[in-house]
Amino acid sequence: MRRAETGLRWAASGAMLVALFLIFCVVPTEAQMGIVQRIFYFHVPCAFAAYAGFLTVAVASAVYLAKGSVAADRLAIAAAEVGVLFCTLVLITGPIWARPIWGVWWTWDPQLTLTIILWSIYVAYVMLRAFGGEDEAIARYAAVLGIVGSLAIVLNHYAVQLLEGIHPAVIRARPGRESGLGDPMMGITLATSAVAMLLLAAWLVMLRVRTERIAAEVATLRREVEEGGGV
Amino acid sequence: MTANLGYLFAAYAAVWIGIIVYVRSIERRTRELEDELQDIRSRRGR
Repeated sequence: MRRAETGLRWAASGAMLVALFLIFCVVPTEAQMGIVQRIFYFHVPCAFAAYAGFLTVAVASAVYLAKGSVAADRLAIAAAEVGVLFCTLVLITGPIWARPIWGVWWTWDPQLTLTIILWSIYVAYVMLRAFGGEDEAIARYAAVLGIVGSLAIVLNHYAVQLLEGIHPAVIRARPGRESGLGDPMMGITLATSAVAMLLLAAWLVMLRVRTERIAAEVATLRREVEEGGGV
Repeated sequence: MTANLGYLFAAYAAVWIGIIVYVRSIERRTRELEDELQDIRSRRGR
């Protein structure tokens, strides 16, 4: 396990260095937005990492409900926390890009609103797990929330394509509009950055799962000590 | 073009600060739990 953690850490670091080199030394500056368009190379991969985290919560929660797997439950807790981290970073970097381009920090565009809803659902999940104790009913309720929350991911992903919001379609253009990636190097840079961010997210999930495992071991030992009349 | 450099710097700084703070918090939680585990094991071993 430790070896896998170390391997992931090095893979994420290497991919991140390549991504940063491409972002700041290779990729051309976008003609209309200028230098701030480079925020996309972190903003969009952070969104991918958040989606990956939340989808992992949904799948792991389904496994937990079906089989009662404690390992799946721990994975769901870890992935939810990491997903919330990356979704928070999306909600921070988005307005920083929007201010010089749209002239406002925030607007209630369909995709922005859905991102806030998605973030709120998984913040609720994390809170529930953090303060709900070891109650099995809480774990099952949270698992249902984790699965239902994944519907917001699907809605959020397609909102930018289907609804007439002002959020740019970075990867696939809406019908009749240009994509945000005019130069092939922009696509390569975004893909490299996405791989780096997903590797980083996977490493963070592994670290967090280890913390959950140790916490469970501590709780078991504490219970044994209490039942045995203390030490 | 350089007028918006501050926004670019702020966005990348926010991402790195967020990730570093989170990694530090996981490391701290793990260290505290490992210490507690060690403590319980040593007390049980007496």
